[in-house]
Amino acid sequence: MKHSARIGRFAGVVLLAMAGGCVTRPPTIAHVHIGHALTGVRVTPGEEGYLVTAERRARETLDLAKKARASGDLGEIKTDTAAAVHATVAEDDFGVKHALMMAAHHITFAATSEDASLNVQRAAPVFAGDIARVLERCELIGLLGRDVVASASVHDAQISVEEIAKLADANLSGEEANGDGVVGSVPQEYGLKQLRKELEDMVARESPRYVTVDQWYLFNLVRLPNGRWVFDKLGRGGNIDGYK
Amino acid sequence: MRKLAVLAALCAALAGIPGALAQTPASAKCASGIAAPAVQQARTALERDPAALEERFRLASALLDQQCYEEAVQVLEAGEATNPQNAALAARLRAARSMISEQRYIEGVTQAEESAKLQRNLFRCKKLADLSACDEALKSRRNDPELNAARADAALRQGKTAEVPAAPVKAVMPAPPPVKPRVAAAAKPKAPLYSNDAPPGQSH
Repeated sequence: MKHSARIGRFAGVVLLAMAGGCVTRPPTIAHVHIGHALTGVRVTPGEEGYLVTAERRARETLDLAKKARASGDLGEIKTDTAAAVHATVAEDDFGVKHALMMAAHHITFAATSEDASLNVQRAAPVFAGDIARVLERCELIGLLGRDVVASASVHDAQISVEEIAKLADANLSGEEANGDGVVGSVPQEYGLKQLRKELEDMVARESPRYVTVDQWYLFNLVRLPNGRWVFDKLGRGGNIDGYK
Repeated sequence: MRKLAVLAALCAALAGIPGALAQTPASAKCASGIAAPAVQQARTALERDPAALEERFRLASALLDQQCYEEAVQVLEAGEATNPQNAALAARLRAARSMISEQRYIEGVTQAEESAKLQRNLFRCKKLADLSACDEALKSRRNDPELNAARADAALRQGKTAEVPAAPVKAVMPAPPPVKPRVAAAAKPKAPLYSNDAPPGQSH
């Protein structure tokens, strides 16, 4: 009698757990790739998502450019500007440009996954095109930054640094260039703020609903030799473009 | 295999290999409507049998080979009506759409690099009177009056008066609008609003 009551209690607990959502379905492969852009990926500093890294590095760039702008010392201006350029264009250290490019790659990976929704398939090419203005500003920051580092006068250096600060700010928040009075109203004015919104709008349209992907799935997606993506339940490992 | 090609192109773009970027003008060729023989043949075959999925795939492949990605997607999407939930069709559509992503991405990266170089030269020419930057910018904007004026100003600021053209802006200004109609209108005798020579019988 005592034994059957115990079994009954156990069955009840299991049923409650199931009803409470303890049994979850794994995310779609497409959503995991999106998660690499928005939430986390193994290879970035702090294992943050590529877009998160791009945003953090863009803030660093702006802070460094402001610091350089406030300085009257040519050596200091050059040091801070070189650091701002590094935060923007470094490939081995996830600068803004590289991190954003990787975010775009992973959105494209999402769109080519077998389980990708039509929504993601259609949004990926748009996103791939819309990152162009931020990439352009990154390139320009790199070129002007090198000019600052080669500069022989504080005056010349400060003129370029002022422009770098404007570009860094636009990379974060967007700009107003077409005279409509709205910042970031068209892709040619986009900064990371508008690009994030574009991705958030995309995931908001998803059906089944997109939910933030659990870290285990984010870090255990592998690509098989036949090109299929699977979760590495057996810990076989691998190393494909940031994947375990 | 297609995905590998996408990755290879993306990597090539990241590495700045010009060969990978030289493929972008294909979209202009597609827009012109000039079709390659393979595309024409596949299109004719599909027109004969619009329900044949294999013919549709052949046309889409021919278009993809010509880098006409948007057109390939349109051809495949048109097949969805007669072949809903077809896995092979869905896979080809995904691949074709990913090629559009790749194309836009590569175009964006290429344009970003080129545009940044030009903007840097314009900035240095106008703000810092950097003559070599002016000359670099003028290579692609020879007839830009503002840039020519900035170049002349930069030469003046550098004390290189010999390099300042007599009329730098005028020299590159586009031809003024034709004045002929205005002259003609002026020369043409105006019909009098009121005249004592009015033909008889007309009252005022």
